[in-house]
Amino acid sequence: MKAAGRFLCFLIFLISSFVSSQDDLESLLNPTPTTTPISNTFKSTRIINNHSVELFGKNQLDLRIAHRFGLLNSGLYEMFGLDQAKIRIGLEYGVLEKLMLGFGRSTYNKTIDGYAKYLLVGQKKGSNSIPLTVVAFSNIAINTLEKDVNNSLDENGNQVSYPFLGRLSFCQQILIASKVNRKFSIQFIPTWVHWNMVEVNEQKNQTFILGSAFRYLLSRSVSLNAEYFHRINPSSYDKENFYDSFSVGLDIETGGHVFQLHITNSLPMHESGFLTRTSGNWLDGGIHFGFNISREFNL
Amino acid sequence: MEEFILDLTLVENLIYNYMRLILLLLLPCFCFSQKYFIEDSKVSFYSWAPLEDISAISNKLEGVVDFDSGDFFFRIPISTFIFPSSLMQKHFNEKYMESDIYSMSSFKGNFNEKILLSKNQEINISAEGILNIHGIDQDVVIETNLKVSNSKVLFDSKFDIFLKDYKIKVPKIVRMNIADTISVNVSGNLIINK
Repeated sequence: MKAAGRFLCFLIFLISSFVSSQDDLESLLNPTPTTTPISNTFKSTRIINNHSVELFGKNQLDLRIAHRFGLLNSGLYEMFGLDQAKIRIGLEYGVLEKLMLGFGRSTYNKTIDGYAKYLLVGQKKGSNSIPLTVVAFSNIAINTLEKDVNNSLDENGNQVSYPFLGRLSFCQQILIASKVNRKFSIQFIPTWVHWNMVEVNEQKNQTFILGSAFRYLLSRSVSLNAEYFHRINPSSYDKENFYDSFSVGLDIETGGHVFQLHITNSLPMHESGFLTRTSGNWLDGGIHFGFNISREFNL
Repeated sequence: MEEFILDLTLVENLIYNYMRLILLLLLPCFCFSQKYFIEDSKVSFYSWAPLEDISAISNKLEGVVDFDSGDFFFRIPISTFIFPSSLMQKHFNEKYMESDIYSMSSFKGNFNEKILLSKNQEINISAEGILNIHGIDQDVVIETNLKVSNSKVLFDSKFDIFLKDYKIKVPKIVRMNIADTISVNVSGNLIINK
């Protein structure tokens, strides 16, 4: 009896001392969240020509300069395209965490374009994982060329007047991306492009396009990007005169800049332009060297 | 039938034993040391380089200190550091800290002397332990200033981190933008329970 009591006391003492010394301090903290958002699907807000699912943070201003040189197959006299260049200068701004607005003006057809981009769903990993990032994107572009520059003639041989509404073109996209692993991200881009007025009757006003793109990190600071846009319903005129946009490029990151170097068969830098008015043919050297420079400012 | 005779010494012994038992049962409750948890915190770091000064702040430090044993554990989620520029924040997480893999930095160890919380005082004390950054453990000693006032403990500490110690590689192209040594400030207060 006495021995049993002593043994019991000893046991309880042992347990009590065991309990007080063994509790791990870390376990007393709140458990860490099991679902974490995935960021940095792409290095920049553009993959090459087209937008990626990346958005700027709130109150971040981006000064973005895009440059496309002339055609590579234009010969030595044009220094293989380096003598000519089209430029788009854009200012883009993160209004909210999920909303970004931007506008730019490019020398291609003196086009002014503006866009809005809104994050619908963000990719997450963990217990409540979401495999995709989905962003809604809308762009409107205005061709500001003087009307006689276009040289379009009607049946009677008079110059076609070019009303304001006829200068507008629109692009609506759903950007669907997934960061497959740390290095590899893919994006699919169902697109609808609408031109209020086309240059030639045989051209389509509405074009549906399916785009796909990827990035692959070559090192921490350099990634290889490519994008391709397949037009689903081009007219025969569109098929003969314009090509599907295809671009390959490198993103190079330094401190506050992202440099994007690429070769592309598209000269226009606004969405409706490069998606439906790409005139270069990769197969006979109809490609342009180009670059984007993005400099971010904090407001 | 001697066994049925009331044996006073046996009863005495029994009561004594049960008292001991009850005491021992209660002992863990008394012994169970009061843990102090972080209530407010501010963690900031600075990099002074020829081309750029970079700083970031987080107030998401979590931690618990057992002042009886002197043991402590602190941790901070890397992705909670806020930079003035979102691009910097992106680079910090993606390129340097790789916060998708090494999501936390932690500091685990103990104070090298006993701290009396019963009296209000201000002391400098060294905290010795393992600092884990970017998945690398390093033994460090961090000097800390502690202010004890009315069972609240304020702490304030400054220390330097050498990026090389934690295998955080800085590419040549931004060597002039990022310092080799990052200075870190940690401050906050600890209270009993949350």
